Amino acid sequence: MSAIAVADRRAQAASTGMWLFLASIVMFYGSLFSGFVLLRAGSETWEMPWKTGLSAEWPMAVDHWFRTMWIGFAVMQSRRLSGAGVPVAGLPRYSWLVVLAGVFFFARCVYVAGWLAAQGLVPSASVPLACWYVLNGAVAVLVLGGSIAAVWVALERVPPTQRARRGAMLQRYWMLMLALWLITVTGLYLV
Amino acid sequence: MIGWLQSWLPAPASAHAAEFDRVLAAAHVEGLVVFASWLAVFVLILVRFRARRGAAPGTPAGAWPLVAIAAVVAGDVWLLAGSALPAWYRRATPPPAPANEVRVVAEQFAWNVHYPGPDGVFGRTNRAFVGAADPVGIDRRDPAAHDDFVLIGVLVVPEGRPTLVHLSSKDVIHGFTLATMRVKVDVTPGLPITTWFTPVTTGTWEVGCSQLCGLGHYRMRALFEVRSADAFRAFVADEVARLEPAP
Amino acid sequence: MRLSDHKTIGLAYGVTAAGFLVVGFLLMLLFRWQLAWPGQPMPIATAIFGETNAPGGILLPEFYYQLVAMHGTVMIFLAVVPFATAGLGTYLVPLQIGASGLAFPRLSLLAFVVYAAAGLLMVASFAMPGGAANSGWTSYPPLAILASSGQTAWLAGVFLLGVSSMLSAMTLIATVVAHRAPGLWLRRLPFFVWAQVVTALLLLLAFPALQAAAVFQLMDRVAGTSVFLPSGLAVSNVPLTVSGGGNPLLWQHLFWFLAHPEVYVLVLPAMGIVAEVLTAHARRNLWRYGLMVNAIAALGGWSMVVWAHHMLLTGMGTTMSTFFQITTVVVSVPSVILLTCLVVTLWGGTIRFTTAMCFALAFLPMFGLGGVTGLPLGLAPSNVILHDTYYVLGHFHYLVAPGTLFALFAAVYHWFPKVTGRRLDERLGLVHFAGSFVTMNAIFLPMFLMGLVGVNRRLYDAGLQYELAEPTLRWNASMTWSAVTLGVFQLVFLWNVVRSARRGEAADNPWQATTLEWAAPSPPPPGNFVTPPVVSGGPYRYDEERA
Repeated sequence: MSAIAVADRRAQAASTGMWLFLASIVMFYGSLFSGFVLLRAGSETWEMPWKTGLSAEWPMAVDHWFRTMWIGFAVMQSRRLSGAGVPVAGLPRYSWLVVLAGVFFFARCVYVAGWLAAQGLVPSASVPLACWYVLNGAVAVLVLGGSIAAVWVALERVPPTQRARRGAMLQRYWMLMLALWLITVTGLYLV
Repeated sequence: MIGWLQSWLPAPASAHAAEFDRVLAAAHVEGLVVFASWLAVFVLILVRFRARRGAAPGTPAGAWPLVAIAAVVAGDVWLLAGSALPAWYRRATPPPAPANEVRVVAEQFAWNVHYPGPDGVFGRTNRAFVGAADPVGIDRRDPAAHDDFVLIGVLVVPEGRPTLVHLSSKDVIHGFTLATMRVKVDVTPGLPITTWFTPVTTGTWEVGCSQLCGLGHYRMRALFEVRSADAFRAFVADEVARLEPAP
Repeated sequence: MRLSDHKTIGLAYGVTAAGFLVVGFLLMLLFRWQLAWPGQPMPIATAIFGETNAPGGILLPEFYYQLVAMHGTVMIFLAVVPFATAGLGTYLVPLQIGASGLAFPRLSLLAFVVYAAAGLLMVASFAMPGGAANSGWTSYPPLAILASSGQTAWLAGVFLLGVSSMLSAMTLIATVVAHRAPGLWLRRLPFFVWAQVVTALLLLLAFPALQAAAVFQLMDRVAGTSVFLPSGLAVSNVPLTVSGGGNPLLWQHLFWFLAHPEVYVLVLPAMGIVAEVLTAHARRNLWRYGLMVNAIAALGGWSMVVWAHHMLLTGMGTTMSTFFQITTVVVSVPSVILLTCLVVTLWGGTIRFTTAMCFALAFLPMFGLGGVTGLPLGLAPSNVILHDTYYVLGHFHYLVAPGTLFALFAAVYHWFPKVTGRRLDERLGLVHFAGSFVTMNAIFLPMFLMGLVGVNRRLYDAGLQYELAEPTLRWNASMTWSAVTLGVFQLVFLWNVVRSARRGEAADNPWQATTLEWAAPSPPPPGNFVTPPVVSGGPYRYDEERA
C-alpha cells in the first residue's frame, strides 16, 4: 500500500474514532442532564440559592459570560490551529492558547464551587445543589481534558498536515464543550 | 398444557387472577408451539443434512421460513393486543367503590399493616409516635385515629370486596407480593403506590417481598388472610376492642 | 510478541476474562451450597473465608449476598462481555477484514489495562471492611447507598469498565471503517464483524448512562447527596441525616438504559460466532445475509428503547407500560429473524458434527428457550406472576449461560487452530460438550418451575421461610450437584486446551473455512498476512464449492 493510502486510512480512522468518542461523551453528559431534568420535573420545589438573593453577592451573569468566553476562545484558537484547512508553520502557539483557556475555565469552576461551598452550599445540602455540582463538575473535567489534549497536540512532533488534522479534531471537541456548557447554563440558571 | 401449567401456580384467589393466568398460559402456549415447531424443523434439518458419504448437496431453502417468521410475529401481536393489554388496562382502573382500604408500611424486614378501623378513615401518622408497639406512628390525638390499629406482619382482608392497599416504605425498595392474588408491586420509598384486588375465596397465605431489601430479605414475609365478610367484621371489632382508651 | 499487537491484546482479554469466568463460577458454587443445604456448615469454609463470613462453616447472609451480587457482576461485566467483545473482537476482527492491525493499538492496550484494573478492584473488594458489594448486580438505591464500602469499589469499577469498553469499542469500529482490505465492501463483511460492530456501538452509546448513574450514586455515597434518596427515609426508625428530595427510580432508568442493551451485548457476538461456525461446518452460505445484517442492526438500535420493561411493576402509568410492552414485543421480531436465518442456513448443507458445531448448534435451542420465556416476562399481566422469581433467573441464564457461553465455547473450538496452529482434541471436546449440555439444563430448567410456583429470587435460604416454596426446596440439591458436575466437565476442557496447545494435531485451516482470517497463517505472524489480501467476493463461498 502506498504511503498516501496509509495516511488516508489513519486519518479516516482518527476521524471516526473522534466522532465515536464525542458520541459517547454526548451520551454520558446527556444521561447526567436527563437525570437532572427528571429530578427537577419530579420535585415540587427547586430552590437554587441564587434565586433567593445570593446573586447580589455573586455577579452570576458576568461569571457565566467569562466562562463562556474562555471556551469560545478555545474553539477559535483550535480553529486557527487546524489552519482552517491550510497548514501553516508555527501553529503550536495556538495550542498553548487553547490550553490556557481551558485551564482558566477549570480554575474558575473550582473557584466558584469553593465559594459556594464556603457559604455552606455544599452538594449534600440539597438535590438542586447536587445537580449543580455534578453538571458543572462534569463540564469542568471534560474541559480540562480538552486542555490536556491540546498540550499533547502542541508537544507532538508531526508534519504540519497531520497537526492541522489534529487541530481540526481538537476543534470539534471544543465545539462540543461549548455546546455542553451552554446547555448547562441554560438548564441550571436560565430555565 | 394449560392445566398442567396452572397446577404449578399458586391458587388463583382473586377476581382478576384467572385473567392474568390466561395471559400467562397464552404466552406459554404460543412459546411452546413456536419452540416445538422450530425444534422439529431443526432436528429434521440436522438429520436430513448430516454429512454422509456420497451425500448430494441440497439446494438452499426457499422463502417458506419468511412465512414462519410472519406467523410468529402475528402471534406476538395477537398476544399483546388481544390478551395482555386488555387484561392490564382492566387492572389499571380504580377499584369499584366502596373498597376496603388498608395501609401497608414496609421496612427492613417487616410488613406493618395500618387498619383504618370501622370508620374507614385513616388517622394521621407522625414519625414522633413510632415505637416498638406502633411502627406506623399513629397520632391518637386525631379523632379519625380513635379506632385505627396496627398489626405487624398480619394482613387480613374481607372476601368478595375490593381491597385498596396504600403502600409506602420507610427505608429501601421492597416488593409487595400476594402470590395467590396475582398482586406484585415495588414499594419504592418516596413514591405513592397503590394496588387493589378482590379476593374471591377465603384462605391463609403469605405476603412476600420480591425486591432485594437487605440481609433479611429472605425472611421478610407476613401472614395474609382472606376472611368472610362477617369474620372480617368480627376481626376488626375484636382488634378495636383491644385498643386502650385514648388518653 | 508486541504488546500492542491486536492478537496479544485479544489473547490477554481472553485469558483474563476466562479467569474471571472461573471466579464467577466459584462464587456460584459457594452460594449454591447454601441454597441446596441452607444453614448447613460447609467444610473448610471458615478457614478460607474467615469467622466474619462463615462462622462454623455456615455462610452468613452478609456473605451470601456478596456472593450473589458479585457472581452477576463478575460474569456479565468481567467475564462474558469482555471475552465476547474485546477478546474475540480484538483478536479476530482485524484478521477477518484483512487488516494488519488495529486502528488505535495503544488505546486498545490501555483499554485492557483499565479493564484488568477495574476487575481486580472489584474482586479485591471482598477484602474491604464489610466485604464486596451486596446489593445485587443491579445495585438499586436506597439499599446500595446504605451498603458497606464494597459498593463504592463496585461503582468505581463499573465507571472504569465504561472507560475501557468505550476505548475498545472505538478502536474496533474505527478499524472496521478504515482498515478493510481492498475490495472488502461493507456487504462483504463476515457476519461476525457486523455483530461486533453493532455490539461496539451499543457499548459506546449505552455504557455512559451507567457511568452517569455511577457518578450520581458515588456522590450519594461519598459526598452525602440525595440524588437517589427521597425525603423522610428512616432506617430502623432512625431518620437518615440527608437532605432528601431525590428519586430512587432515576437509578433504575439510567441503569436499565445500559443494562438492557447490555443483554444484547451478551447475545449479539454469540450470534456472530454461531453464524461463522454454522456456515463453515455445514458448508453453506448464510441464508439471507442482508436480512440478517439489517436484523442485527435493528436489534441493536431497538434495544435502547425497551429498558423500562424491567420496571413494569414500579407503579408506572399504563401509557408508559403499554409503550414498553409494545417495544418489547417488537424487539423480539429481529431475534426471531436471526434465529430462523441461522437454522435455515443449515438447509441443504452437509453438517459435520464437530465440537465447535455441536456447541454452535446447541446455542440455537438454548437461546430459543431463553427467548420464548422472555415473552411472558415482557407482558405486564404475566410479569406480575413471574417478576423477580426464579423464572427470571431461568430466562436470562438460558440466554447467557447455555446460550452465549456455548457460543463462546464454539468460538474457542473453532478458532483455536487459528490462534495456536493446533486443533483441540475432538473426543475430549465432545465429552465436554455433552457434559456441559446436560448439566446446564439440569441447573436451569427447574428454575422455570420454581418461578411458576412463586419462589422469589435472592432468597438466602432458597425459600425455606415461605410455605409456597416448600415443594421446590429439594430440587436445589440436584441443581447444585449439576453445577459441580458442570465444573468437572470444564476441567476436561481446561486439560484439552493445555494439552492441545502443545501437542494437538497441527492444522492450518482444518475446517476449510473461507473467511479472510484463514487466509493468514495459523498462528498469524505480526502483521497477520504474508501478502496483503485483496477481496473479490462475499465472505462465504461454501455454496460455490458444490457448483
